[in-house]
Amino acid sequence: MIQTNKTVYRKFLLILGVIALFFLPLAVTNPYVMYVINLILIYTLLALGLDLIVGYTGQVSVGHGAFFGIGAYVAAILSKNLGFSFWVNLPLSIILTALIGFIIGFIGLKLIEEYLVMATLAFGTIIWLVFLNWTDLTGGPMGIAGITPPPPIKIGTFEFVFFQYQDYYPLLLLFVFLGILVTRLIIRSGFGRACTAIRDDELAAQSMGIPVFKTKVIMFTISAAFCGAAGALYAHFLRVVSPETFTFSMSVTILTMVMIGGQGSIAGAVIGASILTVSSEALRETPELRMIIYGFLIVVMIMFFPKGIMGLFQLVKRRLQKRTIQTPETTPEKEGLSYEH
Amino acid sequence: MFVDQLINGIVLGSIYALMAIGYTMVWNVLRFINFAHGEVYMGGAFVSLYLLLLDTPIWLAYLGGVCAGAFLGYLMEKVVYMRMRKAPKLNLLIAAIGISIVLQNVAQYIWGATPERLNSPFLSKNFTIADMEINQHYVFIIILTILVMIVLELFMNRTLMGKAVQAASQDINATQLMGINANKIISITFAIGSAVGALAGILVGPVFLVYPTMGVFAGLKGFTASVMGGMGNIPGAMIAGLLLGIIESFAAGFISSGYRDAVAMVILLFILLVRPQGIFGKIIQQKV
Repeated sequence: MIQTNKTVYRKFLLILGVIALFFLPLAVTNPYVMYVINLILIYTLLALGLDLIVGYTGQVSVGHGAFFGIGAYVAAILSKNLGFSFWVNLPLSIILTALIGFIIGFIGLKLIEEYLVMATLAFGTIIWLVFLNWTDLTGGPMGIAGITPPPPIKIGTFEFVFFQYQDYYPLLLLFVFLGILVTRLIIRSGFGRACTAIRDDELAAQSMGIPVFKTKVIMFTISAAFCGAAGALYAHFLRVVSPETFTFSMSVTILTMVMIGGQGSIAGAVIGASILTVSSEALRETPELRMIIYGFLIVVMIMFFPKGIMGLFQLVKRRLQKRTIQTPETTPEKEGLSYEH
Repeated sequence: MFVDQLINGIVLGSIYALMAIGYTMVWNVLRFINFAHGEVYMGGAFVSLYLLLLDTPIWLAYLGGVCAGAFLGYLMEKVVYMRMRKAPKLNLLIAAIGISIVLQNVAQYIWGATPERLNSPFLSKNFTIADMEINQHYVFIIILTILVMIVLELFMNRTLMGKAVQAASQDINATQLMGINANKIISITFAIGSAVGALAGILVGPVFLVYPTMGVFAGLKGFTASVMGGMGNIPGAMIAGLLLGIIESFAAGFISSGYRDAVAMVILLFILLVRPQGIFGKIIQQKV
């Protein structure tokens, strides 16, 4: 009984916290701080998307910056050339990004794990070159400016506008919560469990009757769709897109977020996105130094704490529990020198 | 025009072939793609450039660059990859991406992002064959590449060390049971592959300049060549490298130079889609 009371209490607190988050703009008056918070939300959505394929399915992609870019450019082009509003552009961005994600996944997930990395890297480069060279459509190196903000929504006497950073914040927050909800639904479904089975042991999963290739491709498509949504939100938030945002280092930044926060954890994606966005804003003046730190962090984290900050939390928690309950811990160990399965 | 493109293609192809060797050799022994191989190519070129600034004789500067590249590859393996032998392959791959980012940006931090030309004794001279001007440095690249391939082939097939590397490529655990020091073999493989990669970077320096991100595309194209040749197949990688260089050169000449780098990427995606085991490769059977 005590246990259930505790969970009810926790849930209540959680809902209260979520509602409180929507009123954050009342407390934060500095527009720059609001801008950074909005960026964190967009990156959270990206990290959640990448985590689906890296953390839950165990496949590395370094092309998610390109999916983000496609989402942003589709929204920008539709808004600029056809005058479509955000509410039309968002679903179209998601659909197109998912479609391209499906194709890339289909190509890259075929044979060896590493092929996906290379396929996504190749794909990211092609997309970036297209952004840069297809001047008629993408504006070339100058990018596209003058994207319209989402039109206001009227509910009863309330009117929601999205002109300023603090107006845009609730919209982003809503989509982040939606993203978290979708992620939870996916990973707790049979499909999600199939994905984690593939991550843990592909051959075993296959012999259990999981259609490995199909599952991976579907998850990759969903993952790309997340980035498409983030892209559309980004385009209508900054109202300008340019190719230098969507280079290889964007893909790496998203991957670093997932690694630092902790693969396969929703809280990890949020933490990773927050830490990296704030630190990159702080290190704005020295981009090389920032990238050196990112790279170094990736190497150190993967060598010593492959489960990221959330993994560290769990480790500490387990240690504390062990001290009180004294349960023997069993950890499976892999034998052999090589990396072969 | 046609012959010009062909020569350009062969020169480019030689570079890709040299890069592909590094990927394929490491793949053979560890079944993992050293994502940071492109940075060895960049590092070797930068060290040569730096040595030349110190008034070192050219041959010594080139040799120094190659040695630095070999050492960089060796260091990568010793410091990072060796400690991760039991980690999942995915983690190694991410570590390699991290190393690649660190090296690229360290180079940018030290030497700046402006491209610089590496000096070559042959660059300003031309051969004239039947009304055609051929840059001597291009000939130098082609000759050196052929030489490296012959030496490598001899090393792999005629020396005990080379045979040990081949044995490790077949089954590293069994090799260890036969009394061969597997860690030593892995180190040697990394050093040789990286030395060849650094040589490629140094040879390219006088033609396409030296800058911190030069290894990104070269690495990708080297990888494309190694996939085309069938992962783990050294002669296949060499032929595929040449082929890739020639295709790219013609595509860039006749289609559009803005999309030059996209050509190899499209080929890579196409190969992965149609024949992921490579042109000369066999299908890999995954064992439990």
